Amino acid sequence: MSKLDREKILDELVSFEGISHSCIYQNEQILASTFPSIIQDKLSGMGRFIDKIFSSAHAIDQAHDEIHIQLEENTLITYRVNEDFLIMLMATKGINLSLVYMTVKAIEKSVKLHGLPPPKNIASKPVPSEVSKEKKVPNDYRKEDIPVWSLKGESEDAPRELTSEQKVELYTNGLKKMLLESFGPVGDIIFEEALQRWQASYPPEVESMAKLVDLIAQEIDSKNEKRSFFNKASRYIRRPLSEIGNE
Amino acid sequence: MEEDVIDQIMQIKQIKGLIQTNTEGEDVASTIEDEQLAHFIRFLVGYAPLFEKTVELGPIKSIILTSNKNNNLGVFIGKEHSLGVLFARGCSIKKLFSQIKAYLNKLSIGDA
Repeated sequence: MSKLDREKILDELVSFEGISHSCIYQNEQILASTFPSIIQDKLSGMGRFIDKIFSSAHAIDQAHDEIHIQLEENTLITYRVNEDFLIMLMATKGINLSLVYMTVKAIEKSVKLHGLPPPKNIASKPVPSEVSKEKKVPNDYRKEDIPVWSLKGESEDAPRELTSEQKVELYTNGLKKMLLESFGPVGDIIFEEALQRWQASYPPEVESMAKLVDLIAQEIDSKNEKRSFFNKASRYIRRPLSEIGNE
Repeated sequence: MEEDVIDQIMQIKQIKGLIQTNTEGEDVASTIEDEQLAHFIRFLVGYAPLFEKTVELGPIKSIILTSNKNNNLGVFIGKEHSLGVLFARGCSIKKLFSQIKAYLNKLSIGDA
């Protein structure tokens, strides 16, 4: 996990209403933090204590992976991610716990699938923006705060002649963006589930993209949302690459 | 009176078990049969003051652990007594607080 990635995760979390500070703890070290410098030296101790609580629970076969420690005015919420590192958040009352939980789960899923690839919001990278013109982003998070988790190594100096892999990536990035804008962090989970199934069953080619759209649609519960996504995504993958790449 | 309060809390549908301890971690009342879980709750009660001392963020009012696989677990810290609560997986923390708040006051644990 590079320094940049950690900071992106923390920036996203503290952008949520009610979360004032956050940090990532692993192996007795604070990897990144937005806590005020005055308590920075206390964070390692805090992480160690909380890690011990999780370890003690696991020692008696309890699978608890979330702790809320309520203080006088704030609550310290900690998630154990993949039994590997801790995300600690300082929260006030009125926090949307589901929003935070699903965001952490999306991070967890992405880490599990890709061994913690960096979330990148590279402004210069051509990503489809068709949906952003049509979809209203929910009020409780900002579109620019949603990390776009890269699926493969990315280079800002991509050659003009696209390889088959890059063509596929352009389309998959567009589909993923659609899901994130429609479903928020849950969209990331939907996408990763479907992508994994697609990669296991079909050749990673542009010609197989319709299969990926099918698989993603299968992951969407609501009939209306399923239909809406399917129609939009089917139109999208029929568009020429030159059009998508120039957006 | 405290036994009555414990009985009343146990009537709450999502509550699966309770353990009331004194500051030394000794049981005042308990309905938790799983001895390992009871030990873990006593451990949390004893751990809270150490955490406060190390972190210096002020007194801890409660510690709640949640899981998708096991029952959730909460410890409400009071000056004389603390209360450990085993509550159903999926029961939200906010809901638990709202249901248990009045009883915590009766047990002199204060609202969490």
